Amino acid sequence: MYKPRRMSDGDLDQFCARVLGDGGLQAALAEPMDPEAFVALAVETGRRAGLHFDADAVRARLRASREAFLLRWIAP
Amino acid sequence: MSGARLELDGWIPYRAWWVDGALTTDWARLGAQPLDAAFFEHSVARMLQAPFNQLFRYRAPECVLRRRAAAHPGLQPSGFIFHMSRCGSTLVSRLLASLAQTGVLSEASPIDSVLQGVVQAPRLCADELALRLGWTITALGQPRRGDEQRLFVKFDSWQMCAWPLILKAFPQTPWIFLYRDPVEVLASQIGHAGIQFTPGAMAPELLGLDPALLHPSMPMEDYAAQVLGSICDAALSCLAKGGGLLVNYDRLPGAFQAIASHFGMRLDDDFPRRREEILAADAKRNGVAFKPRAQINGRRAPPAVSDAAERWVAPLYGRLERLAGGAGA
Repeated sequence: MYKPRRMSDGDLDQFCARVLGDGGLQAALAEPMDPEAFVALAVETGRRAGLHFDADAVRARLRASREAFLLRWIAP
Repeated sequence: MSGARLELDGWIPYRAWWVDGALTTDWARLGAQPLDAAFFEHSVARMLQAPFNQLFRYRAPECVLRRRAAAHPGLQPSGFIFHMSRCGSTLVSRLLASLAQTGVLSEASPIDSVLQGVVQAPRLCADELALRLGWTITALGQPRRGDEQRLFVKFDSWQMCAWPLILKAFPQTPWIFLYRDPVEVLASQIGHAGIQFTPGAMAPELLGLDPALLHPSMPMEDYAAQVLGSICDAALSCLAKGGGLLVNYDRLPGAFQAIASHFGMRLDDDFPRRREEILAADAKRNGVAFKPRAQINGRRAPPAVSDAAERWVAPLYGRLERLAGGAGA
């Protein structure tokens, strides 16, 4: 099913790629175990890097990731 | 991500599968956390609960695994744990993990995926598969806290049948094989079967089974007993190559001293206290103390179970028992 991408998805993708290459950012973002604290930190860290995405975009990714985890035994 | 900078220190490949003969892996950040749950999958589930790992995961082509292994050799395995299933291997791995500077990989699914390459990546030769096994264990066995000196790998029971590949990758690594009265193991598996004991769930080649001896109407007891027999037969073959120690479940937990010695380790003064803590909590049954379940399963075994065990496994079990006199604990 076609799902339109959010306007902020491009910046969020860039943010994810940047974090994958930066151990310092990883360490900072790995600290919060509370999902909402993490979402706020991700949005703020992205903003400081000039990458703009909103909290809902991050929440949607987290939700999709959890769903994918539940399905992982069914299909790669 | 091609060409993009990638920093995977503290990350592990938590899942692997084959795509056109190449090993693809999903990575997540474990940080300095040890893989200290009784099973690898439990540690993975905990790791993936972290919001970080729900947003930032990395799906890697095979070359990443190869490059990581070359750049970060990590710990080489100090010992392997093979077993028949339902025979104390989880207890042994938890006792090993309780020792200082020691990590244990317990039935890690990426290792399972690599070993299934025999059927899922049939164009790869044994040397090529052994290389990939080495890369995977290297990636999983990276030091977490910084002080680790030893790494043990506990394999799933069917993987005893893959010993030629495992020892091709790690020819110098000592190993143990835990075994148990086959009636007791079979009774336990019939009550709650692992996938390798479920007819048709795994390729016969992986289990060392002769497809000609399998048929759709075969009772589960006979199938599972054939798998058990194949695992015992593989252990006997591997024993002939050296480096092995046979340990009967009945001799646990006392035999752990011999296991530690076999792996070149000394037990520290605090070990008895930690051992009692571990024995007080069975990893597979929350809040229940570990205790041998011989009578629980064996005494009530129905004739189909005892007959199948007698037919397919008893002679091999007898050989293990005889050899354990010279190579056992």
